[in-house]
Amino acid sequence: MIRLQWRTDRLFGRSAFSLAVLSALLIGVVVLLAAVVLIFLTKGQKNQIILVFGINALLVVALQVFVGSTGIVSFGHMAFMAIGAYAAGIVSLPVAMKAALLPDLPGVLKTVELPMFPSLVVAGFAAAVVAGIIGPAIVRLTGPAAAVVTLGMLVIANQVLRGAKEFTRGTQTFSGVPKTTTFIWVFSTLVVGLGVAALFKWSSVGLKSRMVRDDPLAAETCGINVTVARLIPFVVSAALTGVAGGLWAHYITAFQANSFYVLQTVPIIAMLILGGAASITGAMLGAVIISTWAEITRLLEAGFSVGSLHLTAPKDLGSLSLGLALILFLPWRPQGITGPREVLLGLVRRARPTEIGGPVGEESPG
Amino acid sequence: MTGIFQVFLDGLSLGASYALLALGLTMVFGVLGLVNFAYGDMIMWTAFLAASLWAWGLPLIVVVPLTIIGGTLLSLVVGEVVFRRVGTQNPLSLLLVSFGLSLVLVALAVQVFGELAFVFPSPEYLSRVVEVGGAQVSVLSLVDVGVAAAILAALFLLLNRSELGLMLRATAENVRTARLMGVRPKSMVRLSFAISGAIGGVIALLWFMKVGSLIPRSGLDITLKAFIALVIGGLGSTRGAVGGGFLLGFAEAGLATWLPAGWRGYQQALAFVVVVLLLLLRPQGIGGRVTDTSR
Repeated sequence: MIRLQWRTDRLFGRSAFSLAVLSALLIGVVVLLAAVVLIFLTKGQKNQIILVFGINALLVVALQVFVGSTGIVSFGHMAFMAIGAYAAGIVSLPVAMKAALLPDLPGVLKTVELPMFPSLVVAGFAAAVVAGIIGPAIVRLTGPAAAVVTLGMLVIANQVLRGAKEFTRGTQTFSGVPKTTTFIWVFSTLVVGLGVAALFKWSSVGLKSRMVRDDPLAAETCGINVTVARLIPFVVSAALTGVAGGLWAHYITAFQANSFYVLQTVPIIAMLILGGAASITGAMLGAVIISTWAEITRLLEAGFSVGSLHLTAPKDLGSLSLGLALILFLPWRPQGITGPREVLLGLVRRARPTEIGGPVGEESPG
Repeated sequence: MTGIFQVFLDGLSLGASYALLALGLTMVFGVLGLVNFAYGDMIMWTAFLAASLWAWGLPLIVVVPLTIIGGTLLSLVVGEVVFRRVGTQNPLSLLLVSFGLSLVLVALAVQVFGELAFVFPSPEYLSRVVEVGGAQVSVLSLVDVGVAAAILAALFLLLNRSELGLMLRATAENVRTARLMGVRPKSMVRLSFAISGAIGGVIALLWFMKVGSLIPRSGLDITLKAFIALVIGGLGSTRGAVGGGFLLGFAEAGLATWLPAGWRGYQQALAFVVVVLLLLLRPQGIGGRVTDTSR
């Protein structure tokens, strides 16, 4: 019998791995269905917001792959989103517009005009390549030093993007990307992203990187290469972030280098940390809660009526409450809402008296 | 020759501010393990205080001490209200809480002062340019260097030649042992926040007199600069912080002068590239000890 469980993320039993991946996919499908219901309930008036939520959720899940399995908080993942967005933009921009907007593009790039799917692949690939190159330098550090260096990574990416005029139009707006991001694209990518996150989390590489997270010295003693064990989640996470960037580029169609900077990183990190960085379920939960709250504050800022009174909430209520949430919540629960727990499908067999210990798939107490 | 001397002076004046910034951060890091993301925003608030006092028509001689006292109080309050509840042994939570604090401070500043730029006034004689050994320097730059030197000397005496400094260093080294020796870690944390805030007050004046204008989002740039200097120098080392600050100052002055025109936009990026390369060779920074934050 297969049953939904709420427990720590250690797996027991033979089919646990496939069930764990399945449960991540299930979370994605539930979110997808919830989004569909929401679209019907709001009669299509909130479609944009739901779409942006989907992209943000993908960003949070992508960040979880790195933060969850290495314990390093990256403040610089927006850089990969930017790379993904520009890469997708460059390869999918109609050739005619390219001649006008980006006349100095080299070689093949000038003549390609890719449809949606390959464009997203290119976005993820470009981000992954960059991550693979700079990763070895980044992952040597942990804790506050890593936060500073990842922030530096974002500053570097921002300036390079603004400087590389042939590819990005520099400080000018990059526009004309085909608007092909639809509801189905966003949410099916989110489901796939969740699947990849779960696959990675419980794969042998994922387990190794979590061992490095918990005790680098012990892991190294067991013959695990610390740098590699941190680098792989970094690259996987960057690839997913790049894809999210591509989706965003095809949704917003016009953007600039400053669309991906420290300010845009804030809600994504808050979603992950408040939800629970060690857990995929937590990442999704954080994305749902904070996106909902952001929408509520937006409505409040626009003004609301209590009886005959028209009230307007202060500007910046969103970031104010987000900051307060971090300040108040973290001392109380540093691991976020879920901690390391996940929603998992578990195979539950009836306990036989002859068996030592509990039924397979259930945590022994303590 | 004068070119080199000019770069040296520019670097010295830039480096003086950066060294102070890194010192202000490292004081708290040593005792509490906090890398304060909101430091720049606290300085921004202190600068708004100074600008408001000025707008009231108070003379410089009153504004300066009031600003420093204001910065100290703000830092103490923030330390008590926000950071003490997190505890000492969780640098990452502390960092994220300071991240939240930064959001709150900026949002409140936007609320109170609006998004428009404030003019940050400075006395006319400070912007005058004098010639030193063939190089052009503003009086303000010289004041920067002088003030930084005075503060560095005072801090050095406090840390290395007084009992209070010994207690501070002991707490930074090992909280439990310090407690056994009769040091109250709580008061040491307070003291470090006070020093950090006082330094922040000084920087608020020097930094914004140089920049000339002030917006609620000015804090981020300060934080970034402080972080670079801190990481170059090595977390938790006062000497490293000073060295890192000056190194960053000289690097920026040198890059601004000698970088080919086409590369000008990449100044800050290049500074960060240098930091990353340095960290690859020496993860603990130039002056840092090997701690569990570096491998």
